[in-house]
Amino acid sequence: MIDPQAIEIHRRLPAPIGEVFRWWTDPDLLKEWMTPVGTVEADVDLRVGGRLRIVMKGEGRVIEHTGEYLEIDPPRRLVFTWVSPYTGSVPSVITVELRAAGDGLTDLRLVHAQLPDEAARWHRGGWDAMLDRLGSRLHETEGLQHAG
Amino acid sequence: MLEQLRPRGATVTELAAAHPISLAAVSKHIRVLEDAQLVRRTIVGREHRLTLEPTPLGAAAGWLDTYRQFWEERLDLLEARLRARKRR
Repeated sequence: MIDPQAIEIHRRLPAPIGEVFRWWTDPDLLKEWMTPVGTVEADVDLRVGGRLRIVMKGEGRVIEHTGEYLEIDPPRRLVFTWVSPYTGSVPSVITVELRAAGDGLTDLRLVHAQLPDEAARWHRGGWDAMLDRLGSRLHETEGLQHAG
Repeated sequence: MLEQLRPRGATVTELAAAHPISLAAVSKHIRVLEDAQLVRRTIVGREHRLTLEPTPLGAAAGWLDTYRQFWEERLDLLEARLRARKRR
């Protein structure tokens, strides 16, 4: 049951279910893998209604992600909201489901739902970054002009 | 300037009228925008019309694909970390 604004990913991971669950919920472990670049700050208040905050820093960018835990059922299920500059006007929702696959392996299913539609992306995603870049370029040309 | 282009584009003259800088300065700004591939110029008769380019990101992949890639990469790294941990 996936709405059109959702993605679903399956993965078999090389660790027992309890350990995989910890890597999703322990801030020190989240720091090890929850960023595409640079470093991570992670604050986790692991209870239903508790907040999470993940700040990805690197390549001159700081991207803050915040959310709230909606369901916590260790070690099988974790549901939380996920709000970043790239999500839409409503919080996106991430569901992580784990299942022991034998031999110390774990099957993971991740669903990221309520992602913004294309119109929202136009305004929030690409353009904000573009406008930042543009602003600095314009400053440069402005400077040149006044100097000349 | 980009804000002004967002709804439906504008002509160079319209842009110049809305900014308290010389036409030469406006042209210079527009060239920067064109170089950055943010703006496309269409010439119809004597009118130079400027419109926003779709983002390069949008051209290559939809937003959902971008998020899919984000999570695939995150899970690749998680998998690598779990493997490394096991070897210790």
